[in-house]
Amino acid sequence: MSRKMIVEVWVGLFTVLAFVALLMVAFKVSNFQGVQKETYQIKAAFSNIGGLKVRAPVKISGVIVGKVIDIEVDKETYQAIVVMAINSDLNHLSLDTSASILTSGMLGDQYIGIDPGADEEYLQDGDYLDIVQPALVLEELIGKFLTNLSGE
Amino acid sequence: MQNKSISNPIIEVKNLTFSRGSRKIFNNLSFSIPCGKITAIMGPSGTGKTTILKLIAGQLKPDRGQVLVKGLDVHKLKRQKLYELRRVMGMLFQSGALLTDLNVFENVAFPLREHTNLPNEILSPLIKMKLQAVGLRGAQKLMPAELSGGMARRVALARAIVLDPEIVFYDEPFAGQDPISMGVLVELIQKLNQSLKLTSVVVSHDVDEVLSIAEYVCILSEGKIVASGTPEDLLNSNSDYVNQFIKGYADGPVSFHFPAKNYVEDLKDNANAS
Amino acid sequence: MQMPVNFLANIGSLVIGLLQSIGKALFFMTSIIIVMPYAIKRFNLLLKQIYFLGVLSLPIILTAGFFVGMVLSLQGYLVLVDFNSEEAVGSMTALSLIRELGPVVTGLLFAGRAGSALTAEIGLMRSTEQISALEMMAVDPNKFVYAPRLAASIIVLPMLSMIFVAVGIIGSYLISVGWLGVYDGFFWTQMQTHVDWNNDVINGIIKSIFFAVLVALVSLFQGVNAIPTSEGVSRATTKTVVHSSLGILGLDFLLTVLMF
Repeated sequence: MSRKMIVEVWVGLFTVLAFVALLMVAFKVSNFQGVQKETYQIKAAFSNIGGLKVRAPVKISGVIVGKVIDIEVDKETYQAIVVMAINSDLNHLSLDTSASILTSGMLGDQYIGIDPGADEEYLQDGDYLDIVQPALVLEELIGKFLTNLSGE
Repeated sequence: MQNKSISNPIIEVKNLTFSRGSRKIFNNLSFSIPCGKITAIMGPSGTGKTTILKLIAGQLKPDRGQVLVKGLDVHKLKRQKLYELRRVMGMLFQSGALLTDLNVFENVAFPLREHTNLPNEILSPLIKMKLQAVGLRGAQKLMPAELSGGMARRVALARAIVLDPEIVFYDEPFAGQDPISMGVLVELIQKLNQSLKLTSVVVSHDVDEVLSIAEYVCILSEGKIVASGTPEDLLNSNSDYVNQFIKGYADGPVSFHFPAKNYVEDLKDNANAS
Repeated sequence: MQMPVNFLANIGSLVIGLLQSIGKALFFMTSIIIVMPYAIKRFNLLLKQIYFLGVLSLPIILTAGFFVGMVLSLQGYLVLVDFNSEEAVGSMTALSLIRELGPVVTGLLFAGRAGSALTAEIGLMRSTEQISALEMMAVDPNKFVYAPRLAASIIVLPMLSMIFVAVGIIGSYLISVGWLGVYDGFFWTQMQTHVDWNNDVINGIIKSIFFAVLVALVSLFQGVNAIPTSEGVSRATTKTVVHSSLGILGLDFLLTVLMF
């Protein structure tokens, strides 16, 4: 085998190895989904988002259907505006869909759970969700529990 | 003995000043090299003989002055034009400067592959001709590391003439060669110059070999041309310096001793100090 | 009263020298980048450099990646087991490998293994007059020597970094699942929920591209400016490793601030 061929074979092997590594990182390690799915945006205003972060998942019945892409404070109401990107194949969410900030497990990451309603009309790109439930904050829960105790 | 005017110069160096750091290597140097002859530039080590070749080839830029090659000012040329001009110049480097990762054949073929699109059927006989001319057709498969110094220089010579240049520069072609390969190189330089109608410029301090082939000689010392002419002119010269250089006397205008203070004084100082 | 004047003069010449070398480096950089398209056209030259810089760096990258992955999980496990969340060991290892250790450690190893070799090679080519000979043969060393090496580095380092990450994760899997008894399914699903393709993987690759440019330019520059003696070349080689390693760490901090 000539020197040139040896070089070519090794470079080929190297490239294959790098490609396999890339595939492994893409499909086994990260959330790579090939071509980015089409999405549309819906928004919701929360009085408290707890520990919700950008890129947190949005779930319906526990299935991931989108993710949080932006969180900011409304300058007038001082509420947190959470922008979600929802997969376009789920474009039949009724207008009275509700959103709540939930926690996976006792101390896990927070995500948004949405519950479809029964309205005839559907949410469009950029619409706000009206029915929201803010995150449960542990301190507030304990506070309530204590006032209830003393009230008895 | 002054610079005799040369009827047909191919290279003209005019008022060249070049310094390295604060050391002036050439100060107002002027000379010409005649077309179609073997010209030797001689001088003791460290006078910048290699530097002058690099200046002529445009690899170094002078502080002042100009170098005309075939009437073109080398240092005013755009990169593109300079590279075109270099294709009519070949240089044989002191170490051979073969590309270490190519074998002999590919080294000689390299300039052709870079500058032409010749198919292998034409290229191969051409290379073999050039290798035959330097007597190394049998060594075409060897790698540079497997060659002796003299052989490497001959391969480099084949490479230098592969583009059929008009001017070939030889940088110290005889340095560190055994008598046989020295003889081979002397003969090759002469033969190639005649058969290819070259202008050859040989930079060297090997007096005997150079005088045997050169048709015109410049002697360089301390940044100046101290003598020039045909070998006969120089052999019959009455200049002390030329005599010392050509005959290799240890002492003369070029002193044996590095400049120092008086010897006796120096020893006395030592005695006083201790 | 000669002292203060000398002192000022020394500082002055030092500053001028520094500015000069920055300027020289920038000139050198642009002159190579201009001829980069040529390097890609000369596929054979590129292939050879990919072999020298990439394939020959594989053994050290594979071993280092494997061990770094194993050590990370071992350490991570010891901390995480206190919080009963040892399943997170996979995602922790993967994140640190993909965001930081992959590009940075590969970059450092590349500087030591390939960068130093580049400097020595160029320095030697100069001291044996090969670069001069190329110029005399009207072949631009920028095109023929430097550009293919820069291009090959840019291609090779992200590949090496990816291989490093993958091998590291395999090492982590062997330690945490095979030895420490973390549940196999959780190991992978935790990873997939926490490692984001766009934000983590792509940024890691971008980092390694920056490091490749840095290491290649530093090594080539040192090689070109080495004093062409054996001592000069060996000093330039040391400089390459020191400068590019420090450069990688500094650049990494900067990129991390910008990216995450």
